[in-house]
Amino acid sequence: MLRVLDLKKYFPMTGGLLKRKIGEVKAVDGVSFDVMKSDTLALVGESGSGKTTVGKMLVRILKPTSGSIFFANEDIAKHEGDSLKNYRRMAQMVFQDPTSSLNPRRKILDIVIDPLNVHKIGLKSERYEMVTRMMDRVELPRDFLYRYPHSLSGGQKQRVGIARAVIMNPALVVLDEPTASLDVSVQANIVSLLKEIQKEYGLTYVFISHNLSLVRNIADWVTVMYLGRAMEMAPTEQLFTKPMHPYTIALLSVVPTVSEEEEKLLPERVRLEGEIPSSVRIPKGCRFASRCPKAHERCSSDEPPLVDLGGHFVRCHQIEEGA
Amino acid sequence: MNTSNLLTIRDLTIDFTTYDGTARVVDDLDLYVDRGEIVSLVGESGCGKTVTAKAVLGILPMPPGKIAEGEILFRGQDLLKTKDKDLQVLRGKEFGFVPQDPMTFLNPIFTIETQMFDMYTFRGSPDVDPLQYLRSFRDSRRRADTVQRALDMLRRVNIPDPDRVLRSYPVELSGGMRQRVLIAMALMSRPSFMIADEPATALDVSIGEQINEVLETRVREEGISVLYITHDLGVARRLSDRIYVMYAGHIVETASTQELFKGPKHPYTLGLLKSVPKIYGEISRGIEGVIPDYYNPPPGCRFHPRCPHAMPVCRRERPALREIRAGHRVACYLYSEEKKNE
Repeated sequence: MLRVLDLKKYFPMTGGLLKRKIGEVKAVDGVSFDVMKSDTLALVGESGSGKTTVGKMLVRILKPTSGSIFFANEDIAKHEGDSLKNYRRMAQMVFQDPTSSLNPRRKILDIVIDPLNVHKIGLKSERYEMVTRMMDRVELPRDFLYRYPHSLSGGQKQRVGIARAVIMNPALVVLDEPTASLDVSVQANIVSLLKEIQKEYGLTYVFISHNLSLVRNIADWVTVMYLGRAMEMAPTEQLFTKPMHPYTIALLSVVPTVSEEEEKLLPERVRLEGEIPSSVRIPKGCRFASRCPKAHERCSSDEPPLVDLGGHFVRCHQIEEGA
Repeated sequence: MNTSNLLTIRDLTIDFTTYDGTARVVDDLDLYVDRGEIVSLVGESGCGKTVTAKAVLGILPMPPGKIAEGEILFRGQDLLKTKDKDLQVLRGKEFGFVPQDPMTFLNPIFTIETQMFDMYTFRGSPDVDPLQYLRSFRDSRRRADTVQRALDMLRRVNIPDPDRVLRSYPVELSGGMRQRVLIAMALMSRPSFMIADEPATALDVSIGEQINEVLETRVREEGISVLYITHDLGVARRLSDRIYVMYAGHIVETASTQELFKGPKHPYTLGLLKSVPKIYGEISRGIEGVIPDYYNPPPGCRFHPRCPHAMPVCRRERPALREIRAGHRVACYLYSEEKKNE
């Protein structure tokens, strides 16, 4: 349903008197993936990996520098004007911070009904009815419609964010760390709500997260990103049972666990030295080489390609040579 | 609970008075940290864990806060009855603190060197006058010694290029580096006790892991006792010797880490554990409901409106912490036969 090909986003850096371009931040540097209808694809990575930028391009809050996004056989990467507006109806986003993504001066009713007004969906008289139905669906009491966001808890605000996205009856919803700012008991509530809604409405999710345990519970496919590139892509089950890329293995090995049986499933602890390099000066060769425990000479000179090992894609010289 | 513990908190009760009324945010809290122990205080937002830490450090804003009752004993000395000046001396010499957000605890307009030097030189000395401060610049030997010590500390927390870091301003450092600097600062004065308030929460997973690891190695090696505040059960499990679980201002369960994860008892602890997404692909629906309104807390057990096992007695009386096995204490009527059958 969704096919992303060689997607790139470079942000120009300007400086000096004439605000000339002095460099580029290569936030996303050639990412490709497919998402099937009603599936969930997870984008996983640390800060600076470009996962949120990909999400924003998918709903076209950002315009890609190059590359294509095929949605229902149409490349929407370069759409403008009416056709873009049309696309946005079908692609919605739920943001990470529910507090800053809801206008504090508007009532919940206004916030949730707004997209219907903008896109002129349904008769005016029907819209209120649609909002109340949506409120029931996200399990919020109807009298919340006349409240302001500040009087809601974090979890309730995120339910409003979900209602605002799903009320458009979209085909694609990009969820950008929707539970990262919530407590774990509330997170579990929201995740089960998201799963139910997905089933009922047949939604396709792109789920952005850094929490691997959470991803394991919600995604069908996982793409692990590092410095603007996909390092490993596989079906969830496969990725968690047979991770291949040293970066994925390292991330998995430090997942906090709450039981021994969980601990047994993790790969042996790998310590990652150093930090993610700047996306202004991307290192030559493999982007992960500077932190990789298995790096050898070739890794810092040639960048490995993304190799397909039967539906499991890995970008690593050692795997490539071994295969 | 014996008096040889480094830190003992007894019956601590903290109220916050605002226009909306009085909220009892910490209620009758008992806690101790023994020498050389890492103890975690685990709970979700708003449960009172940070307020407790602030009360121990003596940095609770009063008003609106007020310590209504209780004592905080450090080496047997009640910190709540200690004069501010003496408290400053004690804090400077004995306490270390690693905050959640390093940016608000580092001064953006001074280099790391200046901040580490000032902190170390004037720790535990209240009321430094400007002249005294200026004089510190003239003592070049002392300065060189302190800088040497700072470099040494930075090296111990695995900062790769300590000379450069020392000359940097906080904005020039990444989040992980800033947090390392704060750990180095906290270690510099050789404290015997440290409070770490979610030091890894604001960081990426792999960086947070590095921070926790370096913190653990340092405190274990130097025998520092730690009260580690976190909302993450997984992190608490990995780092600590003992755990306190807190809900809405109450300690609901406490046990050694091993015991707690082997046989959690309180319905809140159980709910919390189930809510954590598991790596083998399991997640519960979470705990229904929201944390109570502190201005009008529910009578009896504060968890009863959300508890799947609530009984009539839970609505009437607050359960006390009861020992069910050596060192494992639970505040729940499910584990008290006579109350259960009432």
